[in-house]
Amino acid sequence: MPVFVFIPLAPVLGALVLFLFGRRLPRRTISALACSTIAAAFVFSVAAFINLLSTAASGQNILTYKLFTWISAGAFRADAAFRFDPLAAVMVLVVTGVGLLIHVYSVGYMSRERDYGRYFACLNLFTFAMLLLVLADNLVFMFVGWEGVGLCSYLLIGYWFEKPSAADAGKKAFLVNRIGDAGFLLGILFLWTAAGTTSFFSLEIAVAGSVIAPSLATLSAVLLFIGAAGKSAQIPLYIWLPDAMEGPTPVSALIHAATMVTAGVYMVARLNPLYSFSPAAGQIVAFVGALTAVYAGTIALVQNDIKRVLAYSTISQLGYMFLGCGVGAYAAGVFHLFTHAFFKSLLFLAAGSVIHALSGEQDLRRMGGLKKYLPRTYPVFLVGALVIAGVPFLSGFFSKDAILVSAFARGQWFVGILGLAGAVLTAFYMFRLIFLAFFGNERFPAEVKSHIHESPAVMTRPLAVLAFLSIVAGFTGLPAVLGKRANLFSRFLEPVVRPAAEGNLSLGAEWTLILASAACAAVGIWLAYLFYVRNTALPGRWAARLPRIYRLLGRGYYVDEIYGAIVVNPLVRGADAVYRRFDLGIIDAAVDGTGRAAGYFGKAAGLVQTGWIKDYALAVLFGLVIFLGVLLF
Amino acid sequence: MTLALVFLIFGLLGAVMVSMNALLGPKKTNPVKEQPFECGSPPLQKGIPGFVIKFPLVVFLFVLFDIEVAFLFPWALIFREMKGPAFLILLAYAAVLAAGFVYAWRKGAFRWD
Amino acid sequence: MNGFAALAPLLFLVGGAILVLLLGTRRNGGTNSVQAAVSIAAIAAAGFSAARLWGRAVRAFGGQLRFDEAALFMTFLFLLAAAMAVLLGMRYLVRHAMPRGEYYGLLLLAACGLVIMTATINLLIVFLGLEVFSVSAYALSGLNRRDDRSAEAAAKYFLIGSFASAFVIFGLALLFGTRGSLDVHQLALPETGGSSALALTGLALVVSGLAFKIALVPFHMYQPDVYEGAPTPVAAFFAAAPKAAGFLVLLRILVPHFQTGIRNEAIIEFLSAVAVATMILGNFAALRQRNLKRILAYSSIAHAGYMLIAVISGDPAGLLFYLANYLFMGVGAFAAVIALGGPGREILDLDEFAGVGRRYPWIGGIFTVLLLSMAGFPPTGGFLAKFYVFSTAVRAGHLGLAIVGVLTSLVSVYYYLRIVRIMFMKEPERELDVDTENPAVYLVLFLCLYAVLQLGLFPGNIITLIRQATASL
Repeated sequence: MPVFVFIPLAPVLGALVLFLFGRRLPRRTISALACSTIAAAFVFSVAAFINLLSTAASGQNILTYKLFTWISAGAFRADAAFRFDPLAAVMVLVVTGVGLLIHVYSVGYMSRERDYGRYFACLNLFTFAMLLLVLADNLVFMFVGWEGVGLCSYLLIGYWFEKPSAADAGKKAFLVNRIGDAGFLLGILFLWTAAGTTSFFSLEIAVAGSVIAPSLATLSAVLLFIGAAGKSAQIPLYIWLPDAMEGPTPVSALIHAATMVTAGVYMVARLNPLYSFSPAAGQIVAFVGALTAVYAGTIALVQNDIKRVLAYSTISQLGYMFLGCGVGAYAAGVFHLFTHAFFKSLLFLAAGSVIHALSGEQDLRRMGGLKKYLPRTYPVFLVGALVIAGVPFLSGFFSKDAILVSAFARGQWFVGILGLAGAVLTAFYMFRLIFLAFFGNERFPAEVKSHIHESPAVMTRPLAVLAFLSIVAGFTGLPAVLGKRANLFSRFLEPVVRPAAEGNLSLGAEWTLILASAACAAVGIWLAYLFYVRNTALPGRWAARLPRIYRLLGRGYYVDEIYGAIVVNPLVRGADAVYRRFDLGIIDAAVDGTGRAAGYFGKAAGLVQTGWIKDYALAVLFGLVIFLGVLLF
Repeated sequence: MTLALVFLIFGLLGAVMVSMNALLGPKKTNPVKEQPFECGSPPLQKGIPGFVIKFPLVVFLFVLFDIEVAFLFPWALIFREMKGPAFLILLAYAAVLAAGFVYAWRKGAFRWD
Repeated sequence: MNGFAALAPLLFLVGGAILVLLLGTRRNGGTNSVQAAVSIAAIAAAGFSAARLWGRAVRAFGGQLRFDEAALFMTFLFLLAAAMAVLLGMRYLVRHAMPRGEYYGLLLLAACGLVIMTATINLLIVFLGLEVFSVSAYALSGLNRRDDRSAEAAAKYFLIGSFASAFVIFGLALLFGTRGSLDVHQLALPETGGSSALALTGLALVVSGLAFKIALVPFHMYQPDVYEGAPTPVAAFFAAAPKAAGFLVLLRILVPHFQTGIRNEAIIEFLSAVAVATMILGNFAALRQRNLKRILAYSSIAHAGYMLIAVISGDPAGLLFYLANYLFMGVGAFAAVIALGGPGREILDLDEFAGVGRRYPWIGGIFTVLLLSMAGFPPTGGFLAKFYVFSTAVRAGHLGLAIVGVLTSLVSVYYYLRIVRIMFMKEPERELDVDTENPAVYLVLFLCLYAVLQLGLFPGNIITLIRQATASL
């Protein structure tokens, strides 16, 4: 058995043990077990990665392993099979690597929780499901992981289920994801009818041979993208992600920043032959991604909850990834996914450290001046902010730039300019957060102040590692203009992700773009400095001058309310009417009637059952006589 | 089809006859008639004094073993042909019988009082 | 020596039975667990020696005893049922102060009788096995001597059973008189002279006797009373094992008969009518019952109806698969009843089950899965079994039977789910006195759960076995 088959094994064993015995084990054992299983998965991933590098040298860079035939019904066939290729390798390394750091961090963050075992059981189970998702060899098996991560996300958002808002947020995430999943399932079905297969390998062949009708391909690609939009929180299904911040912060970092929400991007990248085959679907993906990037960025400008800022930022960054995939630069999209996993989980965990220090305070308006209290959290937070803002030579800069370059190179000026605008917004809201939290007056109450403490080493060490990774991760994918070791990342992915058609961007234009995006970052940071450090009265004055827009952004364009009015309420009311008129009036009456009739029949049958032996014997004789009569005459 | 008709007619006839009995027959009941046994002896009375309930048990056991032993006759008929194996089979048979005997004994089936 | 190898499974069972009976007479030495251990060991030894016979087509006693793969497959089912009944009985016997050595001994003898019934193609040997089983079964159902219902069950079972046995032996006499042999292959030869009417009468008598053992309508009426009155572990054993034996014998008689015999349309017509009546009556009568053991009794009658469809459509593989499934569903359901019982008394009335699912989630959960399997929900074995039976029925042209089967299955969902609903949705009226220290019963429950899921999700291996078994018929 190849080594990559063992990667998901350790987490599922850990989850099993923790679910069964988690309540009885001591905390140290739970932490050790949870972290060591992920560490084992990470070691397996690294081993599998090295192995892949060596086999790739001999030209074999897609490894598959079939566990067993899972479903075989007529022509429909789905195997429980794994596929390990460069794309899966990147994902597996991110999931287990970042996952390991977040597990370690959680040991500190969750140390005072009552239900310690349940938390780590869910986290381990999540890692397992995510690994299934990225290692699956076909869409149906991938769907198992897809649903698994959704379930774990639901369980972990609602971890504090005594709190109604947390329970509601979990439900919301689950229901919105259901809509996406419906699209995903339909997409699989259409794809199967069109191509007769769900395995990625055969799909690629089918697309390459143009076996699929273009219209069906577009339809299934769009349906699959609906699923991706649900999981990866894109317009119009993004509404669950901000509420998902009700969960513990490490969960937000792992599931709602680094891994699960990127599943949609991963899926689009995985199906890149299909999306390249259908330009219309790719265009939709690019537009939705670009719109989401800007749209979520504008909402993030005015949020006051530190985690909600990061949540909208995540939605916006996911938009960038889809933008990249939509314009055909799958490698760039995955590269951004890769770097984003580091810096966004860094930001979330650092935010968690801030919240931890302030005894659970999440409101930016009651922070300020934390720089001197949190000497270890502040620098890493700053690093995260610089990276995401796109300051040159940090990883966020390279990955975002790779996407924008590809967009302009393919003549997608509109989405490219949206992307640049989003970059300004990103730098602004990120530094607004930094300035509000770490600079300026101390706006927190005195009793909170007496409790402020830097987080323990078990939390800050993972932060340092992530900060380091956020800085250097970009050097795996330098832009083409920067020398001959450039584009290592996309060259590694080449066997899976077809290399982007050569861009027709001249050297000069590319340099211009790099400078432009650096300028965007600078403008955003300068604006934030202007608003929140130089002249702190400015935001209030703007808010007073444009109250409508301020409120519109603050409530996230009222999308939740709009959905409530046009989708949820009519559905609830309609369902109620159907229940009353149809269900009670017709179905129930019919069912009750049938049931009653059946009951009478049963009673009649019972009458024969007198309990007297002579009647029993008579019945036997009766049967025999009938049989004789039938046989003999 | 005629077959089904025949069955229907005769079945109905039978049903009619059975139910006629219940409908037309005189129903004169008295307490004695309702009793489970009506062979002249009242069902509720003092048991016959001196009757030992152990007796039927011993009789059953005797009949049982008697019958089992009767199976030795067919065995004797083929003994000349089979010789040794037949003897082993008889031993096994006897051992099972003996086990049954020991069982009855240990259960106290032969204890008279 | 070949003959001895063929005899080994039977010898182990009988030897174990005698040993346990004798152990039971000792005042102090023969404890419950020792007797159970001896019984299990005897069953395991029998199973092992039977497994060694697989694929060797062993004959003994001039072909009278023949362990073909079908017989061996059934033997494994009987041994499994007996082993599970032993485990179920361990605690139950103590709780109800029942004689123990007799229980284990008679159980082994009953299993032995069933093995004899299936491991032959001579109907006289079948009758021998039938009687060995029946006599043990009468005593088993009356084992709880202080319970009137148990005594009633034994009396009814004995009287009606003797009636049916008389049918069979009379039928055998007629068959032997007209055909000169009791080999099933000889019986099926087309008419060459003599009286065909007498031979057909004999066949009808034998089939009726078997229908009694299988409890097909209208030969079924003793079954609810016997299930209700008999000690629950005994009922668990009766639920599947004797039916399985009866069905295999029926198959052995009818498969050659359908090929070369006469009046086959009439036989199929009659059996179809019986199957329809059995499915309808079994399921509808179960609707009105309040006693759990009676519900399970009627449900087992209904399942016999489904299995009869497999016989009619000439699908031995479907029948064996259904039997294997039903073995675990039936034993498992009774095991759940035992697991929820308290000292000296069992919960049987449906209302008393209120809330037990929430109080004892493991038992309730497993019981639910088993009931869903009986109702035929995927992904359990019960679903696949029904699916195979109904689909082959349609393919064999018995569309009507399949439709009745599906419709009555729908009816059955009602009473199965009613149990689940009462267990989980209703508030308990009072605290139940449940004896939870019953590891052997849990073992059986988990085994049945595992088996039902294994058969439903990955039936490949067992189907391979069944193919080999049916090839030997």
